[in-house]
Amino acid sequence: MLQFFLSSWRAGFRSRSFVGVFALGVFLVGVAYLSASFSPRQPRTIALDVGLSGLRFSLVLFAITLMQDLVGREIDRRSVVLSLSYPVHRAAYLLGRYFGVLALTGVGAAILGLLLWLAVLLSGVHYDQQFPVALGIPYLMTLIGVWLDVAVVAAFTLWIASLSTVSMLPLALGAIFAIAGRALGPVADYVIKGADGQADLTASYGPVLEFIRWLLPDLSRLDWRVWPMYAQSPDYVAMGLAVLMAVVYAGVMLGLAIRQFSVREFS
Amino acid sequence: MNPVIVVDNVRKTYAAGWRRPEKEALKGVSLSIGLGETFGFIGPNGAGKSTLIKILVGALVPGHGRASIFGHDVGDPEARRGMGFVPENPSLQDFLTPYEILLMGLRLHGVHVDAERQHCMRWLERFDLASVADSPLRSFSKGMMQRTVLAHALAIKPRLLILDEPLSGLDPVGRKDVVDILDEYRKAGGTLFFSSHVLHDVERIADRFGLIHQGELLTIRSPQEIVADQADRYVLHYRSTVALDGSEELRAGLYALEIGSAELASVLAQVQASGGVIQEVKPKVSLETVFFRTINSSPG
Repeated sequence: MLQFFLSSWRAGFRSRSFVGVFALGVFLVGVAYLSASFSPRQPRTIALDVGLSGLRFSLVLFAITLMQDLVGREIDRRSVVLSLSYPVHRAAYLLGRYFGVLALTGVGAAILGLLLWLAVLLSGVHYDQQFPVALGIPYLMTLIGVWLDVAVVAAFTLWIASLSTVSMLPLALGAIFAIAGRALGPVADYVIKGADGQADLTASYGPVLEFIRWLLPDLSRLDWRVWPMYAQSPDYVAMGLAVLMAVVYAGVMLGLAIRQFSVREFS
Repeated sequence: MNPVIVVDNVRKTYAAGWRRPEKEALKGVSLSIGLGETFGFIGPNGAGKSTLIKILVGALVPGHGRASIFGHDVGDPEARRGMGFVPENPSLQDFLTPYEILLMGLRLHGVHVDAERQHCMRWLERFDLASVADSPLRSFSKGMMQRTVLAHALAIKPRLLILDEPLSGLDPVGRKDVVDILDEYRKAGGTLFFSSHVLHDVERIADRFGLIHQGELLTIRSPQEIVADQADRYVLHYRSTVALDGSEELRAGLYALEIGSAELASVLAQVQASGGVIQEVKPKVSLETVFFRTINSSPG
């Protein structure tokens, strides 16, 4: 597994997607810095809010393009046949690729997180906010939450890549999964809690959303940005459960991917 | 003879797909290849050569029958330990370098060498890739990619080499180099299983060859058996202004003459005496002859 991890690590750093998505991330951090000027009273909070959204978007995009490059494209071009001719179980290949992508997104999160941290510090330097941002542990934990979110999306994308016969399917479904997983929580809360009195909406979509909640992880629960933005103490139990959900869901996706890939034929 | 590869009544059918009918690629193939043997696998396109090779390397699962390498079922990763493999039309990860590819092979096969870098560089030099050892593969031509995969297969000190069309994509110089290296490997006692369309190379390297056609292994022969088939008949090609009796003019001044081994020496002397130049003397029955004869006589 280590060798596949290392090859993913090397290939990832040299790939165009790394450069492209990293440039996008830097651009979005720049946008976050500029957005601070839209709120004279809360410049740092706004910069942090916009920056964390940009960071998540960049890292999710990075993870699914890498997974597409390192697994989807290898299967499509049949170069995977050579990788599978080594005396190791196929699971080693998949896990090496997965942890390689996680390590690369971890590096991306660290670099972009540091840039955002600097951007926030440099925003509104002449103004003391009434609610100061918390850029220590709360900020770090928020970055870890984003990385866990990416880890779940990457595991799902890997599963799709392990069974897909269409080269772009992992990329497309990975992106849809990331959006759906993020939107699920707020939408479900809104509908199940009454949808502002729209009973027909609750009746129509409530049961469907209750069912989907068992299939899709609620990735919005890994978004802990309120903590650094307003220095509000988080609900640690909810955070712990969200981490557990992410780890279990990613584990299930990896298990499905290994099972599928182990019996797959490459003609 | 210790069998290295055993294929026992292996069948493989590709399921029907979108606008593609079901295809039986292998119809009960059986063969056994011994330690130190060089086995050439020949057959027309779509005959089933690559399917059998993919079953041996674990990329495909036989629908029926059993295949094993070094006593391990091909589904067991241990079967692939010490097995160098070159796929047909190899493609590698674009962003890695040849050195990294070779290093990965060494480590995944658990090959211990004192100086990994020097060991890998030696093989890259053999395949004329030393100058690009640290360049990403994305800029490589098909021939360079092929040589990288061959270097990778040999660098792991393989006890078995499985090569699917190892000479495709190589220029004549590269092809000769590879044939020489494979010949060295064979002479050093390595076991080699390879497929090729280039019958001359199969004839030169292989101890035995198997001819597969439409999923059926039609024959397994050795060069000695071909020699026995030819009944001491040879074909002489020569250039001359004077044609010897019984010669057929192939092109202006180039003649072919079929002769028996008893008269060979005297005919060669006659050609030289008449001022002619001998171009080639080859057995009347070559692998090519056997190939076409067997294919044409098969029921399919």
